[in-house]
Amino acid sequence: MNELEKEAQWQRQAEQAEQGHSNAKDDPQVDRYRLVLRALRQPVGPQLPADFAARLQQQVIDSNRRAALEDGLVTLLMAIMVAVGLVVAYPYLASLIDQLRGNLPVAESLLGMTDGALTNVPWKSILGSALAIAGVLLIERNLGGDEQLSV
Amino acid sequence: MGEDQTLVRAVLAGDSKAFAQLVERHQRLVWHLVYRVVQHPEDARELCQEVFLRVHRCLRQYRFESAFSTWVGRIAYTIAMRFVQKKRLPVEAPKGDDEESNEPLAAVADGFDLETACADAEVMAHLGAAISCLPTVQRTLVTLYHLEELGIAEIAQITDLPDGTVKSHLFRARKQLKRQLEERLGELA
Repeated sequence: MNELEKEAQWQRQAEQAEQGHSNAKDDPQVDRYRLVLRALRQPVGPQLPADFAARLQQQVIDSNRRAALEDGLVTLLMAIMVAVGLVVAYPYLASLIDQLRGNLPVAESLLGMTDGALTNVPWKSILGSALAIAGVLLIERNLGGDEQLSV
Repeated sequence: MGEDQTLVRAVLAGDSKAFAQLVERHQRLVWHLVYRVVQHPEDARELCQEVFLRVHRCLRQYRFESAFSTWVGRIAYTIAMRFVQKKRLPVEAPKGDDEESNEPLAAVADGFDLETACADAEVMAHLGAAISCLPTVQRTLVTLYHLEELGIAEIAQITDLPDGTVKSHLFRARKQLKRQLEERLGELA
């Protein structure tokens, strides 16, 4: 048996002795390995704070709440940008539609069918309502942040 | 593993308390693993936090194919090793270490008493320091095997090392520690 094999055997015997499966007394080599194994089972350095899990839980809740708020704000911002964009682009779109009417007879007939209906739509009320609904949804989502932990 | 699965499902359903319970169940493993790799309490605390936040974010990716502890351990090991590599801390032992450890045993008197040595705080502190001086991978493996009492297969999954390599590292680490112990005992004699 060479040196490495002997070492491996001592290590095995030490493990068995520490697990109580054998009683390898009076073998200093095995005993040294047993001491090494005991040192290896010592707890490592300082430990995590006792409230580590609770703090992490709170951190996750806060992070979800922030993410929900950010999502809501981004959605609201996009809705506002789209609305503003439509308002700004309306004169250009109107002139484009007029040009299309002249060039495309089919489009003219389609637009002619809905022309009166489009001008009668209360666009300002619809935009106001949409923003109000988005705001209410946003507030509700944030108030319910404690219970709704999306993963 | 059954309880872990229940908790994972509860977290995925939106139960934040279940997440705290999952953390409590696995924080010891994560702490030991991360601390052994980085060996710095503040860094280890921050990394443990990062590990569990990553676990929370990626929980949907857990497929219940391995033990949850293995999955968490793998994330912890990856994050800790990446941190060490980023900081350019040495991960492997300097070359020549194995040759040195293959030398015949030091001529130390065999009048060794296990219980006396175990009660000797100085000897145990010396061994503790020697464990800290092992190469990163070795000291992590001995911690997972001896302190966390994980099996070779589970350690291999966590560290992405072949079973044989894990066994070889464990053997060499224990041998190295015994050699250090003998040197210390030689000094004390």
